[in-house]
This record gives sequence, structure tokens and C-alpha cells, in this order.
Amino acid sequence: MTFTNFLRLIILSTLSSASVLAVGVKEIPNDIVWQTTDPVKEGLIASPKAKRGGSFNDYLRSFPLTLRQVGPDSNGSFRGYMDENDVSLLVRHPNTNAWLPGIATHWAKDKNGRTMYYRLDPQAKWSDGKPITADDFLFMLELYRSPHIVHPWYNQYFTDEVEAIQKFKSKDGKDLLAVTLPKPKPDLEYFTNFRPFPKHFYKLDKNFVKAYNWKPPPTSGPYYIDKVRKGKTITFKRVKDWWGDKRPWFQNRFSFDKVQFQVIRDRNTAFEYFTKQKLDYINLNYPDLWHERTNTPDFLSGRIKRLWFYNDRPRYDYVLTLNTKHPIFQDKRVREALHYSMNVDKVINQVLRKDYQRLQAISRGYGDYTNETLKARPFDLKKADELLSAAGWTKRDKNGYRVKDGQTLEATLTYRDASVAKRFVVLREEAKKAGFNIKLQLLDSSSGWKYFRDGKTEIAYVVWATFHRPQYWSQYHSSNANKTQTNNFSNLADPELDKLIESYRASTKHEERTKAAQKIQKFIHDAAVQIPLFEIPYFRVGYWNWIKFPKVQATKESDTLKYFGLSTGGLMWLDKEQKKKTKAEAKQKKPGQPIIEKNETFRRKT
Amino acid sequence: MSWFSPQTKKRFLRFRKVKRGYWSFNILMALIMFSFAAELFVNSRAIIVSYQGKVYFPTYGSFIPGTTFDFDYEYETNYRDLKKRLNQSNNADGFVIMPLVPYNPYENNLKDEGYPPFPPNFADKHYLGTDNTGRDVLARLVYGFRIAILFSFGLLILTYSIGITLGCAMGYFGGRFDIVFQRLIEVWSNVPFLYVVIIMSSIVVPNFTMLLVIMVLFSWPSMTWYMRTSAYKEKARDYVSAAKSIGASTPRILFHHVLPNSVSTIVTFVPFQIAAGITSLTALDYLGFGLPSPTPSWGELLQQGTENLSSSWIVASVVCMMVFILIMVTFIGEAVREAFDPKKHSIFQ
Amino acid sequence: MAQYLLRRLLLIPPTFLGLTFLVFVITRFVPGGPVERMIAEMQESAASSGQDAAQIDLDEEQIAQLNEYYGFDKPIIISYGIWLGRVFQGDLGASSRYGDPVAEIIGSRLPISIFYGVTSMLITYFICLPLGIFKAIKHQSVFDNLSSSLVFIGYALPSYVVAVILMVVFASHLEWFPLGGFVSDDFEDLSRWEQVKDLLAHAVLPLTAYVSGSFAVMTFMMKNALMDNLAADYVRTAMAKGLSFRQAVLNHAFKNSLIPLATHFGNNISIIIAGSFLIEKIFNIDGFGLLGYESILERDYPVVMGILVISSLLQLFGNILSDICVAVVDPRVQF
Repeated sequence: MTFTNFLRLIILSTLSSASVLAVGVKEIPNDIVWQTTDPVKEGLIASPKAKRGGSFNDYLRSFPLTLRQVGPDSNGSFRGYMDENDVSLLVRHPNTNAWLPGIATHWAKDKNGRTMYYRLDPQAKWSDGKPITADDFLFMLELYRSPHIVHPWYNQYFTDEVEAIQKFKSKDGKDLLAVTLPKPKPDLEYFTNFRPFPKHFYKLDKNFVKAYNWKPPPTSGPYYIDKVRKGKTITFKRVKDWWGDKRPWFQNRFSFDKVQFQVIRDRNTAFEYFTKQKLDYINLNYPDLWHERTNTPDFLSGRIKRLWFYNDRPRYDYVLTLNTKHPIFQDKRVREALHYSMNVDKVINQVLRKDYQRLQAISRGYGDYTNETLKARPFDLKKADELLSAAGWTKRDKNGYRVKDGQTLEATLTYRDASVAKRFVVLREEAKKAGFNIKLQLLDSSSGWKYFRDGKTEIAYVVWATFHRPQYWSQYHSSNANKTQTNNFSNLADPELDKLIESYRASTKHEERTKAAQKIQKFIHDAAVQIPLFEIPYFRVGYWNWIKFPKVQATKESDTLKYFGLSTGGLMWLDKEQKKKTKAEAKQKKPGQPIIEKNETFRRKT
Repeated sequence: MSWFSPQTKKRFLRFRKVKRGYWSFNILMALIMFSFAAELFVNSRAIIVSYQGKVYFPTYGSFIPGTTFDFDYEYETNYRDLKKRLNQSNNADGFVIMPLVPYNPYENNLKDEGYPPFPPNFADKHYLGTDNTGRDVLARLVYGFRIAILFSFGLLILTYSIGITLGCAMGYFGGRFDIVFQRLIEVWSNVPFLYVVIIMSSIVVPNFTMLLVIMVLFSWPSMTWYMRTSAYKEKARDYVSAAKSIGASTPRILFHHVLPNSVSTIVTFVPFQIAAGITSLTALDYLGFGLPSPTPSWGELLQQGTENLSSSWIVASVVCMMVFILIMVTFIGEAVREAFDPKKHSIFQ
Repeated sequence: MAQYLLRRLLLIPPTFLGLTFLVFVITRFVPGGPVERMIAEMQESAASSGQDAAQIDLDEEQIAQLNEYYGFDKPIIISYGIWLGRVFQGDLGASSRYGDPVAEIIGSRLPISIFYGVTSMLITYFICLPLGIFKAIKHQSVFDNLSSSLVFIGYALPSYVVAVILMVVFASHLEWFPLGGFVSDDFEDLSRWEQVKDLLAHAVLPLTAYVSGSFAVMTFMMKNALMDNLAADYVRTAMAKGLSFRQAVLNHAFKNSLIPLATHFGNNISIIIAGSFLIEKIFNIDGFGLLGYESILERDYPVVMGILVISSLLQLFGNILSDICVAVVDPRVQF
């Protein structure tokens, strides 16, 4: 039985015992306190100098497989651009983390700890002019639970994790919404903050998947998909008189009239397009791009500016996970020795141009949830030798690898991204010095993931995506260990850890949770199952100088240059005069000074 | 036996006369020999170390830990450091003789100042520079060549064994046997090659043998075709009927009569088969479906080179090497063809 | 002849069936199929929607639902039968990635590939035939050796390397040609003459990359065949009878030397549309090669099968066409 089925059982049993309440709430209680926030007080992020107009050009590595936001193949990278143009009930302030009004102007928490109430903005409209109503939210739940979308994960999540969404009317005739979860949760706003689906647009039946493959839906945000040339380009257009324009939080933002995407498959080709002014910006996160490819006249004369922006957000867990079931890693001393044999600093300092930082442990960048006392084990052959000798690996074979009882100290490192191979090549050669034989195995993305989940890995290179809070259950709980098809790649199973994870999940109190999270991190660090690798505390882009920004170009949360996104995006605008001037200057190859803007507003002091 | 018959000798003499091909053959053979003994020329291990009265030959055999030479580490001695140290003390303790290129194809020679790839540098003895992790390009070229040429020979032997046997049989027996195999080959040669390679490499890490087997699976049909045609022609000749009439057995006819007379077909294709082996391994490595990292390979170098064209020494080295080897192979091919097929060409003015 | 062709035509169906069945079976046993891909993507990108979806495991029923959606729920032989039945009705199914009809996807790529295929074949023939003749006549002259070397360099350089170098030098650095694409974005707004210019400007670099490698085989086939024929008795006889060398070459030897090239012609048919996905990727051309490569990587089986149908049919008919070509140039050939 999977955990979620188990959960479902519990939910069912609790529901039947509280038979008075079928689903959701009966009515809106009188004693709730409606609240709202003033974005001006929280601090606006846009610049009043911003001018509307013009178009912005970006590229896609591949054409999206569908324009549906649910269902098969809807999970491509393009989906993100569409989602960013859907307004949810609330919007998060990227710098202060405060909740701001979205489609809801006010919100309130029920005493039961699992219901949130929202008051909808009657001004809110879809891009086709139809008003956004509570029915669109009810339809959202219906859609996510429907088998017609062929998306079992959504079906299951919205069945298990949402009990009901109900609509009410306030006395002054505004739409009210009650979102009820099956059980109390911490961060209730976060788990009830849904987006509407345009009910008038969708017809939910057997043909859903095929019918909406290429039909761009109306949006609630500032842009909608206007033109699609299959396989070539997709154009977003600004909504005229968007309802959000009256809201202070959205003012002076989303300035471009058009945002155009063209398909360019090759990363190097895209860079060439950028230097030929066919794209307005390019991502320069890779050290080789930032340092090697920026010696063209336009970069050197400052017509292309470079932005190096430090952010402060949950960091990806860039880790090598050691499988504790692998014969040599059963011994914790060997795992620790491998930590000490990984010369990550050499990779950072001599290959990655000191641009990255060493990731010190998992769950970095979560504020109070992060255990800052943990430090990654440095490259230390002496310590590795002590540990390995103590574990009985004293002899070396003719190649210099350690042996014990006819067994070689070797393990296979599996990775799924060819571009990181060079980092492992260096780590491998350095680990040789400690007597480890690290073999490298490259698998393609999806079969590699399956291989990980089958529990076959010895050392797995994984980059764990971040949630708004750290998550531990699926990766570290014993109920996921020693089974196939789970995320516990290390097969760590320890009653003490289980207890910590369970208390972390059950608690709704901030202090209890942060303490538990920090303890979990400490436990995992001590168990030596995750070798933390890299941390990139910033994003870097190159852009043509006709794109203008507010003084602080992005937000604490921004991980790239964003023209979309209600929380962090749409801060820049086009200076048409500058564009003419720059184009003329580029033709003449007019000399100038290179411009690198380094913004450390949100840089964490270490 | 006809292998060393006067005819063979004559062919060999004719081959020697085609200067271009003959010299290419000699150079290529020398290169192959050189690559097999590459450990002596391109290696991080010293050829000879004399230290405190003892002499070591580290090239082949077990590794010598640093402690042997009073370094404070137990892993393999860095002989370049040892040489530097001994030189500084005026070789009072002994001396080290390093190979011409004192690097192996795996080690990352990184520096504190500057970042890889490093351009060619004679002082560091990186004659062709380094790749993007500081590995010596020349070392990787040489060892990559060794792997590629071994791969090609393996491919040649296997495809020839299958192709010749099956092709002869098809051509000789003809009839239903021929038709059935023709269909099978037609079916098989239409299976997308890349498809199978991708599938295989998503199941297991491709290793030398596996890649070889996959390549053989896809390259035997063409050889079989040629042999079939050749055997088919020979079969119709009078001498085969003559042999049959005096009661020669089928294998005897095949191996003693048909095969030797098809030898020109077989031999003419050898150089091209070798070239095909090298290019296909390179292409697979280029795409990332070849031998796993960090195996030295031309394809991987090509991939790095085309990705960083500003580090032109990488792409230039591989491309020159590839062109050089393949041109020699084609020259040999031409010469072989002329040696086996000595039509006096009329060259009129 | 007619009987022979009929026999050859009759052999096409069994080959076609065997081939498609074989590949169909392979698609079933490959790990990382659409369902697994979907599962992996969902789990990995759970963060994008902010949900703890990584914790959601599907039960068998739900996986069965996905399998049904992708048509993996029936036994191989039955689904193959269904697929084949549709193919006979001209329906290649729908792409499992784009949801679009496979025929439509292939149809939109075909003109591009045919353009490049036919043009590069014409260029190859137009350059290689004269070159081969000239080299045969001037065998072992300085020109012969020099051109051999050049042609071999082209042959030895992988076409994708040529493509990258061409693009960096001529498109990026010197800016003589556009960076890529089949035509400009504003192609429809251009006048007819500008359209032609635009198309050609985009085509120069990819075409160069395409043909650079194919000169060697053609040129040498022509040269060797011609030299064989020049050495043959009938040419000597003709010349002994007083024909000039020029006439001997052009009237007799040349025609007979075309036979091996004719044999080659059929193979070219399928190469025409095969393209090279690497060149297409570098120059951002939406051709057939790229489609095939991507569909294999992304496990888009309907497209893989659709391409296989087209390419294998072309190959099979191309072989027959080769035979006809040979018969046309060589009247001695009896079937």
C-alpha cells in the first residue's frame, strides 16, 4: 500500500467519525478576521520610470509539446511561462515573503486550522473580457480531479490534499471562497492559494486532452498567447487594460507589448543570435560563457551589459547520494572517507573559475529552517586514510585502488547531464589518490531517473528541486527505504530519523518545525549519505543596453531575468531611443567601456 | 595454397610500386606500433627512476606510492614533481627520465592561475595544449587513436567473418537460402542504427565490447552483399564446375576456389572498413553514445572543440589528426586496388 | 524485365512487414517510454507547481490508465495489427509528444528535406562527374593528386564539424550569411525575387556542409569506372579504328562508366530525405533528420514508426529504381 492510499484511508475514517460535516464548511463564520496587506508598505519593486511598449525576444530550446497546462506532456519548460500569466488568489512578496492581494483582496483563516476564506476582486477579468468568478475556482478543482485530463498525479493530489472549495456571497454581493483541507497544515495560505481555470473556455469531456492541445486559454495575468507558428515561434501579447494595472503592486510592471519566443535548439547558436541583436538577453550562468564568450566588441564597449545578481532563496540540493545498501557503503566510515576524498574545491577553484560556492549541506537558504552550523567535509586525504584503514581497507592494488578481501574499493557514479561530466572527471582523479575507483556512467534523463528510483544506484548525482519549505519524508523516511520506486536513493532507514521527520510533518508550529528540520539536517550530515557539491548564489545574464531596469534589477527570489511572473517578474522596459542609438553604434563598432553590474543587495554574508 | 603464390608476390610488388599508398601504409603501421607502445612515450609514469642507489622502471607494472621516494603521500608518485625535486638538489639522490609527453590521458593538470583549456605550451610539455579539464590533448589523441584502431580492427575481423561466410554461402547456394537471407538483411539494414544505440546505452553503460557488437550488428550486411555478388560470379565460372565434376566437396570449393578468387573484393574494402570504424566510433563519442567518460576519445575531443571554438587548438588537433589518418587509409586503399586489379590504363595525351 | 520488376515488387510487402514489426517490438521493450518519461518529469518538476508531488506514487490502476492513453495496454501483436491497419488507410497515428497527426508533422518537414536533398545531390553530380572524368584522363598528374587530397579532406572531416566551422566563420564572424533557419521570419512579405535570394542565402552554408563529404565517393566512382573502361578492349578497338581519344571517352567510355553511378542513384533517394540531424540542429533547420533524432530521443514512437514507414518504402522502391536505371544505361543487363 502506498503512503497516499494509507492517507486516504485515514481521511475517510476521520470523516466518517465526524459525520456532521460532510465536506468543507457549512457557512462563513462570523468571528473570522479578514486581513489584507498594503504592497506599498511592504515595498514596491517596480520603477516609476518604466515606459510601456515595444517587444522583447527570447528563445526556447524546443517547441512546447502542447499548450495545455494539465495532462500528458504538459510539463515542459514552456508551461512555466504560461503559469506565470495566471494570477492566483494571493501573490507572494519576493523580498519580505508577505502575502499580497491577488485575485483575492482579503483573506481569513478559520479556527479549525484547515480552512481559508477569500474575498474575490469583482474587477478581475480573463483576458477575453469575461469576469473571474468563484465558479472558476470550483471548476479548477473539478478539472484537477477529472480523469479526462489524464494526469493521475493531479487527480490524486487534489482528491487527497483538498477537501472542498465552496462559494459564498458576502452581504455586499462579492464572491467569497472557502478552501478546506482535510487536516490542519502549517502555511495554510500556501496550500490553499489556488488559481482559477476559465470555466467558460473549457469543456471537460473525453476529448479534453486532444481538444486543448493547441488552443491557448484566456489568462488572468498581464499576457496571453496571441500567435503560434508551430515549431517556430510563439508570441505573447499584453492584455489591454489589464485589471491588475490598477493595483499598486502591478503598476509600472509588464511593460512590453509583446514577448516573442523563437525556437533555437543549440545553445551556441542562441548565443550567436543574441550577439546579432535577435535576442534581447542571454543567460550567462555557465562560467565558460560569462568569461570566454564575452570578448566581442559589443560586450567590450558596454552595448551589451552584464548583470550579476545575488539572490537569497532556497538552494538546490546539488548532491552525490550514496546508497547505504551498496556493499562498500554499508560501512559509515567508508562513506565519510568518500566525503573527505571529494576535492570539490579544486573543481570550483580551478575548473569553474571560483564562480560557484561549495554547498555546505542540504536545505540551504531556508532561513530559520536551515542549520547553518553544518559544514561540508573538506578534501582531506589524511582523514580519508584514517577512516579507510580503520574500516580495513589498507592494501592497494597495482593501479593504486584500495582492496579488502579480494574486493576493490569502487563504485559507479551515475549522472544524467553530459555537461557536468568534466566536474566528475576531476573528482574521480582526485578520489583515486585516496584509493577510490569512481566509475562514471551517463544515462539519459528519464531512464536515469528510473534507474535511481529502482534503487540500483551506487552514487547518484541528483539536483533536488526546492519547495517553499524543505521536504524530508520521501527522501529519508524508512518507509521509502529498500523499495523500488521511491526517492530514498540512499536507503537510509533509522527510527530516530523517522521520528524527527514525522514530528516535522505533523507540527504546525513554526518553532517546532524549524528545530526538527535543523535536527534532520544534522542527522543526515552525520550519516554521511549526501555529499554536498555546489551552490550558485546568483544569476547572471547579458542584455542589450536598450533594456532598462529599476535600481535593484530583480528580487531576493529571482533566479533569472524575468519578464513574466506576478511575484518577481516584469520589472524591465524598453528604451526605444537607446535601441536606435545602440544599433547605429554597433554598426560603427564604436568603442567604449565594458559594463558589469554586480548587485549584492540580497547577498548573504558568510 | 594460393596465399603465397607467385601471384600474391606480384601483387605485393605492385603495391610497393604505388609510392603514395606504400608510404602511407608504412607510416600508418608505424603509428599503430607507436600507439601500442604509447606508455613509453606518452605517460605520467617515468621510464627510469634512479633513487638513492635503486633503479625503478615504473612504466609497466604496479604503481609506486609516493612514500617510496620520500613524498608524504601514499598514492601514486607524481614523477614530474620527483624530477623537479631531484633536479633542484642537482640530482644528488638520483635522476628521473620522463617520456616525451609526461602526462597520461586522464590526469587533470590544473593551475592556480588561469583556467583550462590551456593553449599549447612547450615549457609545460603540453605540445597540443589541454582540454577543458586540463588533460593533455596529445595524450588523449594518442590513446584515443589506439582505442579507435583496435575498435576498427575488431570490427573488420568480425564483419568480415560474418560477411564472408554468409555472403559466400548465399552466393554459392543461391535459391531459397539466398532469398530468405536477402530479405532478412534488407529488414535488418533498415532498422535505425542510432535507435538501437540509444536504447542500449540507456540500459547499460556502453563498453568497448558492447559498442563493437552493436557496430558489427549493423555493418555485416554490406560486406555480405559484396561477397554474395562475388561468389555468385565465381560460381558461374568454368573452373568451379570443373572442380565439382572431379568431386570436390562444397567447403573445398568455397575455401580453395571461390574465396581466393574473391580476394580482391575483400582486400579492396579493408582500408575503407578501417576508416569507417574510426569515423563511426568518433561520431558515437561525439554524440555521447560512445565509450563512457573519461575514456580518451577523438569524438569527445571533437565535441569539446566544436563547443569551444575559441580554444582552437582542441578542434584543430583532432581534425588534423583525423584528416591525416583517413587520407592515408584512402591512399592505401587506392594502392591496394591497383595492386589487385592491374588494368593497364591507357593514358592518352 | 516486367516480370523481374513484378517479382521485386512482390518482395516489398514481406520485407516491409518484417521491418516494421521488428522496430515495433523494440519500441515496446525500451526503458524510458512515454509513461516512464511522464512519471519522471512529474516527480522531478513537482517544485514548479509548489506541490509535494514527489510524494505521490501512482497505483497500478493509474499507471494502467496512462498505458492505455499511450496505447500500451494491449499485447504487442494486437497493437501492431491495429497500427498496421491504420497505416493501410493512410493514417500514421498521432505523435505521442505533439498530439498532432504524424503524417502532418512529416509532411511539414518533407519539403525542406527534399529541397536540401535534391539540391545537394544535383551539386554533387554536377561537380563530381566532370571532376571524375578529368581526373581519369589526367591520372596521376599534379591536378589529380591535388584534387584527390582536397576531396579526401572533405571526406575525412565529419560534416557536423564542417557545419560548426562554417557557421562560426561565415555567419557569425564575417556575417556573409544568415545564422540559420530555412528562410527568414519575414519571408512571406518579400517579393518573389527576394524570396529566392533569401532562400539561397540560408541554404549556402548547410549545403556546403552536406556536400563536402559526398564528393569523394562520387568523384572516385566516376574516375575509377572511367579508367576501367578506358582500359577495356572496346575502347582500344574504337581508337584503333581511328576514333579520337576525346570521342572515345565521350561516346563510349563515359556512357558505360555511368553504370555504377546509376546503381548508386537508388540509394540516394533515401539519403535525400534522411538529412543529417546534426547539420539541421546547428543551422536550426526543421528537417527530417532532426525530427527522427528527436523522436527517438523523446521516445515518440508514432513518429519513429511513421518515419520508418516512409524511409523504408523509399529505400525499397529506390533499390528497384536503381535496377531500372542500370537497365537504361546498360542495355546488356538482362533480368
